Amino acid sequence: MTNAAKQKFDISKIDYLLVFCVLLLLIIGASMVYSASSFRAEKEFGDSAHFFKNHLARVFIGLLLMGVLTVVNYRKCLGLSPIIMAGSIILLLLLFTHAPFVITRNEASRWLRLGFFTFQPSDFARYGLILILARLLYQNREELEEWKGFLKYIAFVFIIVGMVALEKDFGTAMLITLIAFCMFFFAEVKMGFLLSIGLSIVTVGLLYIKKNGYMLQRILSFFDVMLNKNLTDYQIRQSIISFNIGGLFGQGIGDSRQKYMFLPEPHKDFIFSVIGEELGLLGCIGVLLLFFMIIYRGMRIAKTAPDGYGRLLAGGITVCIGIYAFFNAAITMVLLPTTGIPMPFISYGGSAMVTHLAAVGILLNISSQSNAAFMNYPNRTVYKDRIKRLTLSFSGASGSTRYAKTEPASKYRIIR
Amino acid sequence: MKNMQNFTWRFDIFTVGALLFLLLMIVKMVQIQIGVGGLEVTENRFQAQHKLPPERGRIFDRNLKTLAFNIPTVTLFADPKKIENANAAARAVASLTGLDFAQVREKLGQKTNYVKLATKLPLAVHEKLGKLGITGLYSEVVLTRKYPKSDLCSQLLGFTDIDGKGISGLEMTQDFLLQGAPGRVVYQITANNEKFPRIGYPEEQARDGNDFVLTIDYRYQYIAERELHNTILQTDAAGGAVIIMNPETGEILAICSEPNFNPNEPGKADQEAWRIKPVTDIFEPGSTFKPILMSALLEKGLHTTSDKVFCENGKYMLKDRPIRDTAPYAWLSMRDVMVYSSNIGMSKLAMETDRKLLYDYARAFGFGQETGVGLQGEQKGILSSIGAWSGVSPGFISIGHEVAVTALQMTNMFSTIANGGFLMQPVIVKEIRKDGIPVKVYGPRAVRRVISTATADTMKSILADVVERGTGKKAAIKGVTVCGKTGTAKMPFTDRKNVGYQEGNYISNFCGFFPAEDPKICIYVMIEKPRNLYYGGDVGAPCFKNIAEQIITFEGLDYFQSPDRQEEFHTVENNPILVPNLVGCSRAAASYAEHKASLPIHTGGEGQFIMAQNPPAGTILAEAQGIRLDSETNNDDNDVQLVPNVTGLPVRNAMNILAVKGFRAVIIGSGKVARQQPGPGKKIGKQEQVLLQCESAVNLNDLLVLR
Repeated sequence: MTNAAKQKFDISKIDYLLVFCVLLLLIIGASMVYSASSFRAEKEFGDSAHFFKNHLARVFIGLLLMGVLTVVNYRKCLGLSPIIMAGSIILLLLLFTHAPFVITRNEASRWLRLGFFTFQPSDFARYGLILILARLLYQNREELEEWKGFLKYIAFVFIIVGMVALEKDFGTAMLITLIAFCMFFFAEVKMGFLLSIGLSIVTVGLLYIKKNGYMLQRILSFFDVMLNKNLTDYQIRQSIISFNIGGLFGQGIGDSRQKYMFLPEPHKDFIFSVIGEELGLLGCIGVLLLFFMIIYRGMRIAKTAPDGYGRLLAGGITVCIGIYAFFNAAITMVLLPTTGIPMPFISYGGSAMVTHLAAVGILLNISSQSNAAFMNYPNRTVYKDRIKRLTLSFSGASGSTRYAKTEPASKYRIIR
Repeated sequence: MKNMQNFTWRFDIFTVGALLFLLLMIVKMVQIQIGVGGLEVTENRFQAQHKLPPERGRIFDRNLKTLAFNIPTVTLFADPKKIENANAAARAVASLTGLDFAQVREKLGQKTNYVKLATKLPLAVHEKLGKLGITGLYSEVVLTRKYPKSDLCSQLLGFTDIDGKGISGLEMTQDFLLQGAPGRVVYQITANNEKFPRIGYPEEQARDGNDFVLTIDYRYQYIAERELHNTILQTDAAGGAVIIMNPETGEILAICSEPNFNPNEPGKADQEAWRIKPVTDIFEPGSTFKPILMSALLEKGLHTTSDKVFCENGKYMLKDRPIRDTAPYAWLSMRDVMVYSSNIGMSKLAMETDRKLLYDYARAFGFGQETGVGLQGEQKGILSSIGAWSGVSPGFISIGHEVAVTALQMTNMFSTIANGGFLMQPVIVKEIRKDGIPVKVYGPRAVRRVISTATADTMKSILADVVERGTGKKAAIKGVTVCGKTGTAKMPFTDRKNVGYQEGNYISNFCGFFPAEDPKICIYVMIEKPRNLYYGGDVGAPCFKNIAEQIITFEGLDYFQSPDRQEEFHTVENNPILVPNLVGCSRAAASYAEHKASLPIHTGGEGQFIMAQNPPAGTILAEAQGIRLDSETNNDDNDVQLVPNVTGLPVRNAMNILAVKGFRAVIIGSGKVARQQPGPGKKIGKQEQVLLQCESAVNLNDLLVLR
């Protein structure tokens, strides 16, 4: 860690394309939240901009936090990670109590109220887990070579996930599991370990399905739904109708009519359906491409991170944003079964918005410290060099010998 | 220490996986676009239409007094399933509306979603109910038809049902013009079935119905109805009808029949009372039919009024059918046959002449055909074709039997004689107005000329004699020459069992007009089954007289003095000539005026319209002298022009002059120009507008919407 700590914050190395994507998504999100929520806000609060104002306030807080964390060295965050994780666990445990600040909706208590601010502890737990895993998995990477060490960390993950699942937030629990799994994968845990854990989870799942016959029925019927047959479920039906009405170019911003109480939570979990109706197929593809760009740039940051901690942390954050975005979209178009997860940067929702933006700040800080040797390497030269290598290999000359003469081989690997 | 940097491919795997998942989602979205079976969504899902009811057109009399209009009332209904405490709700409704508690309670106990509790409640109920705030009780404000003069004109107006649809009378026949077109608002509808307006959704305002101005004069109508009622009471009659008509124009000033009803509560009256008897009921008129053959004989020159007829001393057998007179007459002149109403004399005359003559003239006077007045259920009466006549038919038809007529047909026949021989189209609607502006005006229209002016004048003198010294003495009015004819007819059996006439059941009728020189009012009275007295001269004539006297009283005697006759008288003495107004007329119209007024005119200039004249209109010339007219075109190219003086000119002439000068005329009202703005001599630019307020605009002020 001492070696990597020498890296300094360099504002010119910040990944501005990532910033651009995030800001564009925030703008699209804010306008969609306004469009989707105005009717409900007018009806419930007498102010059509009620949700919109709240949303903007949270975006502002999030951006502020993002700016601060861009400047703060991410290693400090890693250092704080045990405290963050402990705090998250306490908040999660609070939910099991029946304290007056615990808010229960739809038979699930997922929210805490602190003053004016209502938030989901699982939002903090999610990033707390990513932070602490990034720290532990790199710090104790040699322990992970053994089954014993590996299972220790797997058990830790399942404790956290179990706490979330006990609040009947199965969607979040499964996504956190998936994110953790990806981080183990990035932490270069042996594939055999991962495969056996994966297989055992699948086996348990299959046994569960075998035991409860209706589960099989449910899964089979969901395959029907995936092919747009038997759309009996109200929410799913409304969502598909929205996409269908939207067509190629959409009805125009503000002209969604499915938002008039037809769609469930049009400004939260089903905001992507509103985008489908107002901006059309092309708008949806645009939004998804922006998210893909974030994934691509995030993975690039991970690969060029100055140390292993940064690699794991950047990978975890990117996976988290990417999975939430894509899974939310997939749910609205019924590629996945319905669970309540919001779309990052777009959906209305306080704690998720703030934590995601803060995570982007950490990501940007990692990018600012990325390996200078190749980040400043002009791309043009890289491609020229690749072509040179290709022609050399065709001409029969040994690529590696040629290669060794010009640049250290390891650096080229990183570029790819 | 292990170096992790060799494993960047693990990050790439995630990126590639995300890319594949992205492609999968795009495929899925395209699939949704291509088609989702059974999920086709129509606009109806999001839209709810709400009808905006139009206001039904109002009905006015010729003085623009309201005969029918609309008032907002409250309809009270309930959803019994939503009512928690039916007893309390029923008590509240009972106290609010005065309905019977038990009835309301019973209705609220029904197991439906909708019960109509009461209609036509005062507006205050709506507010009070809102304050009570009982769930399940609803009130709605609707426009209800109201007839402020209750039973005045009831049969003519008719009435509407609760939904505002015309059921009888004008309300039914003119329903399509009165009802207007409903507008609509399209609301956005939410999944919870809430509605709210949304920009861009269609919204059409309701178009209110047309207002009707009738030719009826409510004062005439009131007098007619009252006198008819009195006569029926006095004579213990079964029913009757009165029509008052302006013989010059064919406008019906009053039309009524007994029994009557209140259109605000039509259900309380017998359906019999809803009929407009003067057009729907047919009867044998008796002697009032006699003027037809008489005028035919005079018109064709077959007889003169002094030709003598032997009247058989009161008893005569026409083939096998007896004909009687009320008194035995020997030789009577043609005139006296009418004056004393000799049936024998008339039928003998009829038997002598070509039966086609009688038939043709009866047809020409409008019998056996509908008058086309446009009232509900109008009958054409019965006038058989000659082929169906028996040997004695001409004799009986000439005295008003073997025919069936409507009261309106009779009135129209006497109007024809009164106005100098023109059968006029009877009119009941004077104007149709939209937003206070007349959109259709029904002027007088002559159907045909039936008899010449000379014949009509002769007939008038005969009919004047009837009142002066004949059967119609009781119709005579001091100071006014009245023409009239009485008629008494036994009523025929209407059922199939009996043939012939009912003993003791009579139709007594009288038709008259006045003043004889220039008839302005024609009144027809028909009384059905009078008791005690039954002669038309004893029953119809006094009723006529009472009506006529009251009309003369409030119109003033001057109204019935003919100015034409006075002028004629004046002309004979001094031979003065009144210079007509020719300013604003076209050249052709001016030359016509020259012909009519027998004044030589000299027109100067090349213009199309007369711009000035000398001597001016209204000058009285002692002897015929030439009039100089100036038809200069406006060659002045100046943009600013002097406004000419057009006050006092007929509107059309004023428009012509302003058009030549290059101004635009904006007209309010009709008739002669009473005021102009800007005034004469003011300078304004070409194409600017000159506002012309006409005489009639003063009367229309309460209706006209100035835009």
